[in-house]
Amino acid sequence: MMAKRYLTLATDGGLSITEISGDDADGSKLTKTLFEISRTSDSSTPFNPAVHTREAIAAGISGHRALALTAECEESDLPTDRYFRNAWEWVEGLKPVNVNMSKARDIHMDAIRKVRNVELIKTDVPYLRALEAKDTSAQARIAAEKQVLRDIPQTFDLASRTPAQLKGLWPVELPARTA
Amino acid sequence: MTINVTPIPRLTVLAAPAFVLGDSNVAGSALTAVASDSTLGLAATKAEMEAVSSAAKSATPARTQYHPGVAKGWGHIASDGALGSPSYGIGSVTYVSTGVRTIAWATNFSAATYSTVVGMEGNDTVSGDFSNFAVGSVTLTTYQDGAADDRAGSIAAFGAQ
Repeated sequence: MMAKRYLTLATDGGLSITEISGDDADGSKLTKTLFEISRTSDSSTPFNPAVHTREAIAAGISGHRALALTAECEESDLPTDRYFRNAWEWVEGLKPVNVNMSKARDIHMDAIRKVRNVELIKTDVPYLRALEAKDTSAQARIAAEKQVLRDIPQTFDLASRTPAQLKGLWPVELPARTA
Repeated sequence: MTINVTPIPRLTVLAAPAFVLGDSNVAGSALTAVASDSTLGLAATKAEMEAVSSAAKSATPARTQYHPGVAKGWGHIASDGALGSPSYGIGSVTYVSTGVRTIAWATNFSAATYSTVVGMEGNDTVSGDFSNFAVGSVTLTTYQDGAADDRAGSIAAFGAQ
């Protein structure tokens, strides 16, 4: 049996994916889940199926944000690679779960920056040693290396058509990724 | 020929309750064992399970779950957010974003103050913590090197429901 997944929008506009535990023939577990994930300031109100219907949750309950089910899909409809997880989006008419390429580029650049920052820090000690030794040649060389690293976010081209292509792009100035 | 006749005591209908077992039985006294109005042998109620005070009541399978020392929910959540089988007391798991999952309990807690534990898989760079405690749900965030990351772990929750 295929595993059903229920899609809703998170507070930041991202896609939340719900898995129901066990059977839910009457849909009450899903309704309770919608009630729970719509909480904002309310932490003490217990779910009451007679009051907290899907229509009421979609309209907005006090202490909760208005939330409705966006779509249903199968587990197999989700991308298997979660590298761009926070760029997943639901677009009617496209495949069940799409990757927003603009968000994906931001995610990938953040990953590049993380590695770039480590490399920048690694140059600090050699630069200080060059300063102490009054080695102006080494100072200039290291300063140039640092500038190249600093410029990566502005100079590295992330233009790509697919998530797989984007993930494959990596600056040659940085060490290869381990994950 | 000799016929031996043994009288059989006549059974009588007793006023309800027919008898109850006594928990204050005087040693060797069958009379007090059956005449007491104690409730020895009866199942503890939900309140009695939560009070953890009775030494006479029995904990039945259906009410053991109300004891404070018993986990009200437990399960394993994989790195992709999938709830493993078996699990207990968990109604759903919502994969909100990288490293963030909302766990909806099958039964609401009595208050939003209850205890949760998480055991993460991996090395000492992996961690997990809980936030957004509500009577019916809690948020689990897992981390790698301090940044939210999809990691697998097992959870449990304790408290009154």
